[in-house]
Amino acid sequence: MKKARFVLLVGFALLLVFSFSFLFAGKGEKAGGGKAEGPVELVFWWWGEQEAVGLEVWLNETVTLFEAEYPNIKIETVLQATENVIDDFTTASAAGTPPDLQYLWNGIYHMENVWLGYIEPLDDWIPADELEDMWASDLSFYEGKQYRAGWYLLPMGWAYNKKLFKDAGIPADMTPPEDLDEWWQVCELLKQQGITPIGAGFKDGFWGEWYTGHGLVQNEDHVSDTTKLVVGEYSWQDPRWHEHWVILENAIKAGYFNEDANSLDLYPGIDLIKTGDAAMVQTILTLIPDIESYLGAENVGIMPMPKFGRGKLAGKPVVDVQGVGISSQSKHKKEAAEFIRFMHRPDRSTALWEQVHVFPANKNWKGEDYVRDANSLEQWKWFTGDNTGYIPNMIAWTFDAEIMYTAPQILMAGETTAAEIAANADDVMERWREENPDLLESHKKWAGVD
Amino acid sequence: MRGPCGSPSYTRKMIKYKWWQPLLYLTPMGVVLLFVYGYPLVRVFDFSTRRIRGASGPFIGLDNFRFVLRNPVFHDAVRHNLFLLVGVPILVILALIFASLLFEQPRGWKFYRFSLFLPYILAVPVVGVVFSYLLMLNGALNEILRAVRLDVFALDWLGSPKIALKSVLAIIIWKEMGFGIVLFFARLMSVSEEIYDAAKIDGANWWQTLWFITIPQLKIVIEFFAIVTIINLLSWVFAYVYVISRGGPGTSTQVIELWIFNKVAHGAPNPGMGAAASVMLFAVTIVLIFTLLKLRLSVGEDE
Repeated sequence: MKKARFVLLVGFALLLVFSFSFLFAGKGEKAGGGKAEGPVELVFWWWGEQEAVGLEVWLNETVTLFEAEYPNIKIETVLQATENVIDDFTTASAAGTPPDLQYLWNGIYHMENVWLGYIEPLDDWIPADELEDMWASDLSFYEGKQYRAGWYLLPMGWAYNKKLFKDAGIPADMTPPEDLDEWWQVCELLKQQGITPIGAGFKDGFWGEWYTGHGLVQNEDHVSDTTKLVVGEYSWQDPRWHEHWVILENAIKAGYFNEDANSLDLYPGIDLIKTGDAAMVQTILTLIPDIESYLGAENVGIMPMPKFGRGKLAGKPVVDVQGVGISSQSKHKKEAAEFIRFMHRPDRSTALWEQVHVFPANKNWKGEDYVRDANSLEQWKWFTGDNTGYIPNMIAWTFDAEIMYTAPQILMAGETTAAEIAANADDVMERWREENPDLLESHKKWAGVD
Repeated sequence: MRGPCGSPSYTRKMIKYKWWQPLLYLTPMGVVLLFVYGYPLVRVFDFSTRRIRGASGPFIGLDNFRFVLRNPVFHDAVRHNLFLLVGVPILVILALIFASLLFEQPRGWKFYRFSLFLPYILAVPVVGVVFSYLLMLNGALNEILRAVRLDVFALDWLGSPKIALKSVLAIIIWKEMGFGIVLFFARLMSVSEEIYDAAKIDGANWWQTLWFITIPQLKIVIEFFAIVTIINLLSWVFAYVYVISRGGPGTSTQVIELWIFNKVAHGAPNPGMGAAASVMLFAVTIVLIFTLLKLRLSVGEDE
């Protein structure tokens, strides 16, 4: 009996040992798989289907064509959720298992990973002239190196319902409104006709970030003014830096927003224009075709946020670029760079426009030759003309969560004023600077405000 | 010697083993548990003392704790978690009343039991999303209230900072009550009927029966349910808040777990602070559990 128990015990111990050794042997094998024997396998974590409907089809087609041309390279694409597209890359990089290629939002969203050393500069892998044409914005550079290639362009602005404007008797010279006075007059006329002037959803907070992108920039002479607010050179309590919240406060008090804005998330708020329940919405303009499908293209107009500020950037359209980069831990950087170059070939750029209806981040692609509809042509002009970047990309995320997201919500609830939000903004940034001295220094270097 | 069902009937004395043998058998599972629970716990404690960048970072002592304790949003979160504890007596009382009513076994009581337990088995995200729509300013609930001319009660349930947290609490109570009802009901089913018969003969009414028989009989189960609910409301409400309100409007429904999540997610702005808050929450929960267990033991000894 004793012997049987002993045998059982030894057997169980051996089973455990074998299980663990298989577990670790398997891991070793995978690591060994990185050797250049056999086909190269690239992993690409990406996002974007929400704002560029059809991107998945385009990407799959691009991968198929690429694999046909490079039979020794296989690419596995993994669609990521909004909540973890960046987090997962950071976590995987820390664990030493990042993808080879990574979708990257602009500015701080990828720059913090650059500062951690998780993203490879592209300069050594892609010829300089090609890289220049890949339309990444200035926010993708750090200490002279470029860490991101553009993928598709993202114009940000406001959409308005021309029919509702007409029904409300808004004169043609105020369609669309170009400055604050005109905007107020338009809102008042719409309201008098029982039409909600501005549709919005504040609940998930993103509306507040977009609004800061359109509003704060109007008093800036250069986007680096944003960084001066981050590093504490400027105070949010200076009326110049919170005028946009004063305007929001006044608009809310005047009843220009839908009364259920605090109950709605960002996208249901945008949908209000589709159903004719609001005359204007703040939106990413890649959604315009969808809005046009509801209202008819002839009834939809686009505009930058009406001009109110005194900065050099006031009234300029806001544009952004979504992009892609290479993990610094990738064992196949050359192949990954080759795929990025393939994504930017003229035929793939044109396919991106034709299939997804977004502008490719390719300076050699001439939109004038392909774009036909009025709203898209207007957006193309925004990119080729004078514009400004999306400045929330330059602000630490803590500020999003504690200020930008919540400001419209508490203004809507009548619980605060723009001045109080500004005072709170200074507190939040001051705490952030003390808690993150290393990031503060990196911010300074990044924006050149040392 | 064989037991009543034909199985061998052993007594403790009959099984002979060395003192270390049980420990040896337990070791593999102990190692696994230590790895699964112990390692992350050690890492969280380690993170709480570092400025985490990626997988580690420089040691900064107790600075993270200082940063957490001075953060006004964290203060709001703690206040809101404490407010949610109001739900404990409400949950206990409601579960007690419904369990007692079910125990009477009125006509259709099985259907009522199923209906009352159903919310508990629904996934929190599903409940959260459904209630988010129901409780919108122009949602179904307010539409009904307006239709029956009760406009005055058609509030912005989740959009007003004044009532958003109360709305979240109401949803939690609706969902969690089923657990209490089933616990209490199961215990009541094992109480001797003679006690209730005796009470009837003595002329006790429903309330007297509840107060003098049901509650004393349920004491241990009530205590267990209360402890579990306290722990849940302190450190298990993230899913509700994340789905229903994301902490807003403003910070009106911010809770400790969501605050921690915001520190470790979204590009990981400050995981060290998130870890420090987690350590504090862990400590409070442990103290609470041990206090309650000690209380329970002392009550048991008195009895």
